[in-house]
Amino acid sequence: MTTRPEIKTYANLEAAFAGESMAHIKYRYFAKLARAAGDEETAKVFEATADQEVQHAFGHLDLLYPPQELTPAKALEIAIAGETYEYTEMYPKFRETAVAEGNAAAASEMDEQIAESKEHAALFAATLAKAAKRFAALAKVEQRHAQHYSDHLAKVTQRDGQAGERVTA
Amino acid sequence: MNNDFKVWQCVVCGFIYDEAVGLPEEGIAAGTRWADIPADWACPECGVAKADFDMVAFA
Repeated sequence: MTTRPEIKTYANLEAAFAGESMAHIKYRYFAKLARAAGDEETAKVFEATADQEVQHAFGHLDLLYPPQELTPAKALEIAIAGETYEYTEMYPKFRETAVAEGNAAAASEMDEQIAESKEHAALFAATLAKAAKRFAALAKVEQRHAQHYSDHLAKVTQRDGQAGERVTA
Repeated sequence: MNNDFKVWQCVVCGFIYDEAVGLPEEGIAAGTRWADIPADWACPECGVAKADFDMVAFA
């Protein structure tokens, strides 16, 4: 753990980074939909903005993870921690919730209090089922990412160790 | 014309594997059955495992 002091601006930088990152992906998604709809011009507008959001996000990261402090090995450690959180906590919990909500929705299907049409209820159930499946699949992918980063970190650590030996030899 | 080729779809990103078409750019020849794709193969778009593909029913 870092001993970063509790400074509001760091939290704001994290939030700004998250916002710019989400905007980037959202605009790329909108561009994809616009292109699929045959509107190339709108797709390009979204993509041009999306590219700028990436640079904004890089700017925030530059302050959150100062390059002069960040060796490749440290970057790998941060990445491993992130992926490990995703596959051990985030996706398993998300999946659990989707399954539970899917079961609850199925159980209350006959409940007259639910004003939704049958069609809407079916769509809702399908969304929950799909989400549960995706969370499970992604947990496995993130686990592989974490493993891949760990393997590479071992390589980098060994390489840097050897380089250090050469320097001191 | 062989009509029993099946289509599989990635549950995360929607990538389609069509047995009839294969994936020539990855060295998977047209006509390669889903069962003949290695178990450690992953979605070329998003990295999801082969096991997390669903078969797509076609009319």
